[in-house]
Amino acid sequence: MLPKTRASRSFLAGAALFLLAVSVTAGLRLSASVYRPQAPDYRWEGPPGAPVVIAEFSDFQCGGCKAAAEPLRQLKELFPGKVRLAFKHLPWDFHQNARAAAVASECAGRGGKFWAYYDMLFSRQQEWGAVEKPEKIFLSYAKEAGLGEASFSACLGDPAASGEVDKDAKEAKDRWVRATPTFFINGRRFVGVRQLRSNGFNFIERTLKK
Amino acid sequence: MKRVPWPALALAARFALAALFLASGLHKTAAPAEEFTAVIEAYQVLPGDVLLPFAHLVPFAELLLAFALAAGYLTRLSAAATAAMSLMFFIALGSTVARGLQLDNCGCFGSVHLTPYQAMAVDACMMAMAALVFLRGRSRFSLDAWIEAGDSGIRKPA
Repeated sequence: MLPKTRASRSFLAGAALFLLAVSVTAGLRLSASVYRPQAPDYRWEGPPGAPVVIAEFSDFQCGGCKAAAEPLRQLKELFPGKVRLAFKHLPWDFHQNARAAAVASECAGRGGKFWAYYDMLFSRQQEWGAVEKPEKIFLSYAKEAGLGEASFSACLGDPAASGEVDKDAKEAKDRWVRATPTFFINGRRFVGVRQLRSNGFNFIERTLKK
Repeated sequence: MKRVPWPALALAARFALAALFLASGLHKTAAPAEEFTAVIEAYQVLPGDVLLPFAHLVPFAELLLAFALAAGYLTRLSAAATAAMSLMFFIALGSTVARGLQLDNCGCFGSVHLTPYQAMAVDACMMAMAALVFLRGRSRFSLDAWIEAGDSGIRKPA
C-alpha cells in the first residue's frame, strides 16, 4: 500500500532512488572478474609460482611506459624471487610506430630475446619513435641482440606475430584498460607509474607479509 | 507573438540532463575506478589520498542525480546539485587550460574524448539546462507532483 502523507512519500521515493543507484553501482562494480594474465613464455620474467604476479599492459612508444621500466626493475631488486612479470601489448594507434615495435618485440621473443629487445626499445624510444620506416632500426636492434637477420625479417611479416599483439589489445579492451601503462598486480589494477610507485609497492609489501 | 513554452523546455532539459548524467555515470561505474583515478590525477587538483574515494563517489553521485532528475524527485535541489557538479568540472577543466596541462582524456563521457574547451562548452550547456530546470522545472510528470498531492500529515481538530 502506498503512503499517503507527503513526508512518507518523500522518504519512500528518496529511499527507492538511493537503493536503485546503489544496486546499479554495486552490480557494475562487482561484475568484474579477477584478471589472471596469460602470455607466451618468452614474455614472462621471474620464477613460476612467485607470490606476486604483475601483468603490464604497455606501449613501446609511450613515455609513461618507458618511465615504468625503472620501478619494475626496482621491484625485482626489492623482492628477489617473489615477483613474476608478464608483458602485454597495447600499442595505441596515435603512436605511429608502436604497433610495428610490438610486432618486432614478438619476433625477438620467438628468438628468446624479448627482454633484451624490450630494454632496447624503451631506452632508444627517441631513435625509432618518429621515423617514417622503423623496420631497418628494428632489424639493427635484432642483430645487436644476437638474432638471425633472415628469421627476424620473415617474422616481421608473419600474421601470427601480429595476431599476438591483436590478442592482447582485445584483452585490454575487454578488461577496460584505457591507459598505458596499466598494471594488474595479483589481479588488482594500478594505472600509471604514480599508482604503481605509491599504491602498487604498498600492495606488494602487504601481500608478501600475509 | 508566441509565448515561450518554458514548462516543456524545462521538462526536456530535465530529461536531457538525466540522460547525460546517466551515460556518464554508467560508463564510469562500469570501468574500474582506478581508470578514472588516473584521469583525475592528470588534473593535478586533488591530493593523492582522496583520488580513489573521489573516483568512486563521482560516478555514484552522477547516477543518483540522473535517477532523481529522471523521476523528478526534489527537482530544484537535484538541478542545483547538477549545476554545482557541472561548475566543479568546468573549473577543474579551466584550471588545466590555465596551467597549460595536457589532458589525454577529460574523463567526461567515457570513450568520447573531448578537448578541454569542448568539455567546458558541454558543462556550460549543462549549467544552463540545470538553471532552467531549477527555475521552471515544476511538472506533473514528476515524483514531486505525486509527493505534493499527498496529505500534509497535519490533522485538523474535529
